[in-house]
Amino acid sequence: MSTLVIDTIQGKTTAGSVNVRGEGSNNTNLQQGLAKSWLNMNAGTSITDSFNTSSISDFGTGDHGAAFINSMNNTTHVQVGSTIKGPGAPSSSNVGLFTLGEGPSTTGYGPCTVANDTNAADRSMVFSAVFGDLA
Amino acid sequence: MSTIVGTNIEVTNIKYDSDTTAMIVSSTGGGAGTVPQGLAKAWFQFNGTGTPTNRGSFNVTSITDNATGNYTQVFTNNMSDQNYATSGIAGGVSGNWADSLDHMYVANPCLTTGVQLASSYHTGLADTERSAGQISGDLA
Repeated sequence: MSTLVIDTIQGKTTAGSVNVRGEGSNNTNLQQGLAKSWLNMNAGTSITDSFNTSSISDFGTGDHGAAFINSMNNTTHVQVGSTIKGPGAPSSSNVGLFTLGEGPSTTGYGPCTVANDTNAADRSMVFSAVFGDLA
Repeated sequence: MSTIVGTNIEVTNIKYDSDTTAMIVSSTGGGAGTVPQGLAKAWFQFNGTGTPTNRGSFNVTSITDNATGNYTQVFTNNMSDQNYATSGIAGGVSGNWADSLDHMYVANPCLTTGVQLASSYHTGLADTERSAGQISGDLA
């Protein structure tokens, strides 16, 4: 077993690209496979834990924003997420669904939550992750 | 056991010293993660209306339009088995997030060559304007 103790890994041929041998014989890419940001927040009011997230915003019920510390390179980045259901026993009126706000940008995105097909809703635990290219 | 200590290292390829074990990456909290297990093996954001197109993607060679609200994301490099994990979201059917009930789910058992996804609005399959997902698991 060997240990490499370093602070930065950078591609030699291309600074932003390092190949990593996958589980089988195929290679994958270190930079592309890393989540560039993730967030655990309470309804846009407080950050429970995060990575590359500078701040969150509460625009209204279920309508939130998250801002990156280091911006993305374009607006085609990927956001995935989930949320806890509302208080009480599971029912058709208190499900927790993660959805996107309008227009993700290079500086942030909208981790929004809804309860059903007609009502936005705040949720106490909202989780999201962002993949794509950093600027 | 060898230890190399430095600040920066430039490399083109990283391959751990055994094909059967993963490389351990120490974390800030003192625990450890592993490469490549911790890396997403594919991700995609696509417009499912009209002719579906991936706006941005990694390790995806194409998207297939199977039917309304039914797509297949085809991998560039295949997964090793059908037991990988996928997650994703869908949006944009109604044009207004606040009154939408867009969601995305896996439509058929996962394949090593790709994943078939369905998107729906309320109770019916629907093409979504903005959907996204990621794949975690073992590459072939």
